[in-house]
Amino acid sequence: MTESGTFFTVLIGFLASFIPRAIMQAMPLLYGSTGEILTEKSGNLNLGIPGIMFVGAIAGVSGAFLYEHSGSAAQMNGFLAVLIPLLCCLVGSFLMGLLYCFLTVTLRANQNVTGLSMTIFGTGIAQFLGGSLIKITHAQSAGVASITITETVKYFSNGNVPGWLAYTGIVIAILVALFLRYTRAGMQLRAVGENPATADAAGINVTRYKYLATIIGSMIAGLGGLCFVMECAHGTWSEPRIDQIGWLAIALVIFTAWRPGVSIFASIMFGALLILSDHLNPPIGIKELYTLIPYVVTLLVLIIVSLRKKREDQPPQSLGLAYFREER
Amino acid sequence: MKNNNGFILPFGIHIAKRDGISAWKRWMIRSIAILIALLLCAVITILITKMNPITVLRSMFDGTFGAPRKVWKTVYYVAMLLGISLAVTPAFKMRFWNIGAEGQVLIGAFAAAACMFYAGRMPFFNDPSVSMTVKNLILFPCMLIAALAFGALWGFLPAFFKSRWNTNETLFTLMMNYVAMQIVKFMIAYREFPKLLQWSSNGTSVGTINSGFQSVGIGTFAKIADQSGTQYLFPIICIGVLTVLLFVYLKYSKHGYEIAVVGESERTASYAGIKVNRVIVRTMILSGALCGLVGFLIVAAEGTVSHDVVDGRGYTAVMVSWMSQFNPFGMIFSSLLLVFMQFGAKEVVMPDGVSLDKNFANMLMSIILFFIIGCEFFINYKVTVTRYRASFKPAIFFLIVGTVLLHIGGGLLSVFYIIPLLVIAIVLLIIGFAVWLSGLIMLIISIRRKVRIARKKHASAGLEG
Amino acid sequence: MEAVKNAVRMEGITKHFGSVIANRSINLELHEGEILSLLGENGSGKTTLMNMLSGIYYPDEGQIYIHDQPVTIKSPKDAFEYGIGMIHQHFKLVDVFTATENIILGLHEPGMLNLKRAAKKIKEISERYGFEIDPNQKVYNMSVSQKQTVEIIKVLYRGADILILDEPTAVLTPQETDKLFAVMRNMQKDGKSLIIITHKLHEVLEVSDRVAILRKGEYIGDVLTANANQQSLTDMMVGRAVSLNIDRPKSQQTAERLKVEHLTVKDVEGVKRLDDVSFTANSGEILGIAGIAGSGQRELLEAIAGLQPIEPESRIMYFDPKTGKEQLLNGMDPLKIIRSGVLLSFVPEDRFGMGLVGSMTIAQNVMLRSYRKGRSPLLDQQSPRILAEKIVNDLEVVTPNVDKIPLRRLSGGNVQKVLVGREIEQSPSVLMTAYAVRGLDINTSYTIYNLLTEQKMQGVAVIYVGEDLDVLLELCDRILVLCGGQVSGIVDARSVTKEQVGLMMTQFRKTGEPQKTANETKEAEHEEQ
Repeated sequence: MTESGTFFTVLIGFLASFIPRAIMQAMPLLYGSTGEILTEKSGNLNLGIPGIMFVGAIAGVSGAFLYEHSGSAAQMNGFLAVLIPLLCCLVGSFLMGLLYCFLTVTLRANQNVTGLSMTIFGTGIAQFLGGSLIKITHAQSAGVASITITETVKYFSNGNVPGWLAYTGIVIAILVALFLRYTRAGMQLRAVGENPATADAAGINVTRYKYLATIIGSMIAGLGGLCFVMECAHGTWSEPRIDQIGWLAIALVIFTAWRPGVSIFASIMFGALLILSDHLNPPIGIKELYTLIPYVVTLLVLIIVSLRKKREDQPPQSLGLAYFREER
Repeated sequence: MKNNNGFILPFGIHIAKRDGISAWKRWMIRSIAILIALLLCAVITILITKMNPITVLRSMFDGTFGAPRKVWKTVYYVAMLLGISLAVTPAFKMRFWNIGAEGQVLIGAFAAAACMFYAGRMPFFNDPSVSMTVKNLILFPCMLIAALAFGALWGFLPAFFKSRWNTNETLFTLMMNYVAMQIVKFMIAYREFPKLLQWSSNGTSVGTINSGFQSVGIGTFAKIADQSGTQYLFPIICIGVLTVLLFVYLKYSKHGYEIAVVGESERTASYAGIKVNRVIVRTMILSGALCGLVGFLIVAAEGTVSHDVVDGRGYTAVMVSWMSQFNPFGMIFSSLLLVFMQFGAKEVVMPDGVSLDKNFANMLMSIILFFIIGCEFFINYKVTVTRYRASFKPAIFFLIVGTVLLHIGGGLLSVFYIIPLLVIAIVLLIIGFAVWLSGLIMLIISIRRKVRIARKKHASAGLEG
Repeated sequence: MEAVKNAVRMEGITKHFGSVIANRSINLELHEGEILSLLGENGSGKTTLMNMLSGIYYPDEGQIYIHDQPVTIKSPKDAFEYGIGMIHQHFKLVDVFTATENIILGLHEPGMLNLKRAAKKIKEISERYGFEIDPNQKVYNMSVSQKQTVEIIKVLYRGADILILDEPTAVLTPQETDKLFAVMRNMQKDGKSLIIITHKLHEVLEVSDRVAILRKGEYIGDVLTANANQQSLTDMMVGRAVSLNIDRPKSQQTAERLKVEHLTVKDVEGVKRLDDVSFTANSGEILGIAGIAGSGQRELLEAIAGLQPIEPESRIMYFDPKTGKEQLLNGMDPLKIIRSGVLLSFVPEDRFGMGLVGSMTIAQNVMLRSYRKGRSPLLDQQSPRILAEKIVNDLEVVTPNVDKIPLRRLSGGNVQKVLVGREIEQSPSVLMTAYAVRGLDINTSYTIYNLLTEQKMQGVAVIYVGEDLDVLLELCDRILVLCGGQVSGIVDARSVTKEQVGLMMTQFRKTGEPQKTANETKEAEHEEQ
């Protein structure tokens, strides 16, 4: 009786700290996959998500850094401290989305290559800027070069439980799910992704839908980058592993069969897998094997998902293809 | 297509598919795109460093070709990047999105290093009476075979699932990268703490598997000839040969032909009796094995392995391959350019001590690639301006807006240390430049039209007269 | 008599595609409340013209008037606003959507998305004109005729009063066609104006009030249906009386070459595309295959070529011309067929999707079937080039070179010549062709007919899948008629009439009876004789 009581106490104690952290870790994934679902529903396969998340993150961090260093902490205005990083992040990811759309929709470039080079581009910018910020401030704490936006991060999260950015992520995912399912525009967006020629013939402006969905999707994904820095990294920037989050987010899109609602739970599951190694405190070395789990699970998921044959679970039919009206 | 894209432009744009385009025109468009891209890169670099472009270029050159040792190293890095780019090319030609070169090289490198490591624990290799040549003759083939086998395995798995169940190969290969990385990390972590596993009793260097063994030099190229830099010679020659072989393979071999047909249309391939699934698996095994080969060369040349020994080159290789349009000889120049920028950037130190780095080089490289993939549009489609009454107004408007945008972008860049909004600045620059350029083109078109009309008038007037 | 009002007037419409002129200054009128047939051969520019009316293309020159008002139609949206609705030949439907979702797609009705309200309105429309439709059925579960119904309701739902139907009957059974015509007449009574694009003369005569004829992108003229007959329409459509005069010598040496028994093919969804098909193809003979589009012609040829999985009861036997040895082709893929020495050539329907590689040169395409020859791992580049040059010379392919220019740049006729030339150069013993002259001009078509006849006289068993019955009747020795995946008869092309074949193409569906086997049909014919 007492033994089992102790066991449950320990378990509950473990879960009480584990679950909130799993949710925190899940949110960047959720943002990323929600953004990518919206994008893919328009027929654009944006492999630039990791790069976009990187840019969103560094733009936010830069904004916050600037604001923090423009005056003393006491002078900081809570509203501005939230608004500045948020706006910077949105602008940064907006521009990335615009670049992707211009190349793939207007210039009809290959979506895979464009996406990949967007990832390299975004990662390059973010790491270079981050590195430069670090060098400017000469911030070397415990041998690891990093910068921390200590003041700003207080307005985002207290570091132990998910902050408002996390809840926003869930709300956005639900909103996107409702949008796709129940609104006229959502239906038309799905039609654009499935069969742009049909949508075009029905009088839908394919280009506009593609642009809007992809850019808004990019901005949502960019928020994921900000969320990663603020929630998971507690406002510290030192060569973050946002690219891994981005790729996992794209894998989640396939896993959830393009359903943002399902993605909420799938993200939390993957978030839990990601922090498993930190929480079980395995001996060093074994830890690396725990870190392997999310990737191996993703591989298995990819294989299992490809066995799915139901029509509704398939990707949008025109995914990855450029649309040109007078194609003959 | 009538332009109703939601863009508000002072003219209509008509886009039509081209019937064909002459070769020189195609290369003209490409060259112009690359030229504009390089100019843009130069502008960005100058604005960020605020240094004399000649100084920047000189220090970049110094960093890459400044000393014999540096030349060796540069050529070696070019060779390795070229090798990986060559390795991924057959898959891309087949339209198989293999983003897994990073993992394939790493696992190959790991396999080669593991051979060295185990050899180091065998009495035979520690026996001083056996000559070094004999040891090397035994060890090198083992390393090579292990590296090829592991690389091939990493290529085989995604291809197998792709051909069986159409599993998404892009994400599959990506995840395999992380799996390879974690495996190597895991092994290195054990290596650091021998007591936990008793995996090794040899050497205590941190972070690399074979650093203790490296000093002996078996299994590395360093001691084949005792000259600085020559450890890089063999890998360089290897990749040189590989370049030619792959060119022949893709262009003149039956396999290469099959790859091209499968890439173009799987239905045509099966009609011609080509077994599509077999070609996919075979090509990916080849692709993976070549990556493994590069991994082996890296380990043998550098004598060590760590989880970031590939250092993102698996991804940049994708860029190199696409930039050169899958031409092995074109890849030599692309990888040279990339390595030049990566190595050179490190040497560009700004007055306040901040230096450019690899990330910066990658950024510039992707800008160039954006231009290259973007300009394909002008090769495949014919763009004509319609409903455009040769008017100066919109042209001037565009020129002004473009100039303003360029100024804002430049301004943002030049206050980079205070306001690090580089992203916005760069995109503003790109957009501003595009607007400015289109303004210029519009101006030229309108002037030309006016001239033509004037000339016609003149001619008809002359006839009447 | 009241003056005729025009619903549509097109004036001086011209449209280019690259260097090809699809429409040359066309003037067309559609009166209010009439059914107008737009008649013309394949490639005469009917669909292009109508696409400009529905906003898919934009004319290079000319003016369109709707109800006598000059208008500019830049997009399908504009067309809707003028009350124009087009039902395309290739349905523009989203497969994973329901009928309702497809119908209201692109509309800006006030208020929230309300599928129930829309479904109710759809029910009303279908009752008014006599459609049968389930608004909640997904399109991927629908038959062709159901999909067409969705397309028509889509247009009516938008309140269109000018309807354009692009070859609506090409994919329909006779009953479905009758139903469609009834619906069309209902719409006409309701005051709507209709254009039906077709090249089937009896349908023109049956349904329309007036006929407008296009030929090679030009407007030839119009005629009241009451004053027209098949002969006069044909003359206008083709410009001269049709007398094909295809040379048809009789070969002396006929022997069984390919024997197909109980061939059954199911598609991915498990639907039978071919059902118990049996026939023989003889050397020195052209076996024609006739049928409505999609009756299983493609599956039949692909099954023989080893590109379709076949059901176990099927048997495909091949008799070697030299040894006479029989060989079972069941379950062989194309590679195995080549390896086992079966000389089978196949000109598929989809040139660039299957038979050729558009981005490669002629020489590289010529080696597609033969590149394996020899033990060397390297390609033999020389002999394909010589062969390519031979094909170019023999068949008069117009091309600047054989080893530089990608095939995609050549015109359709030249591409087809390359494809047919390559397949003939394999010196086959069985030559299968699917729609070998589709989209080709008369001269090229005759070149192809002559080539096939030449092959026949050399003792090749030729299988010719065609859509033009006149050609089938004059070119072939025997004709196998497919209907819904079954054989509705194998007849002697020299004695059968066009009407008989036309009847057989629809026979099964008309009677609705279980299909007679090929042998029974043959016996029935014997009895008749």
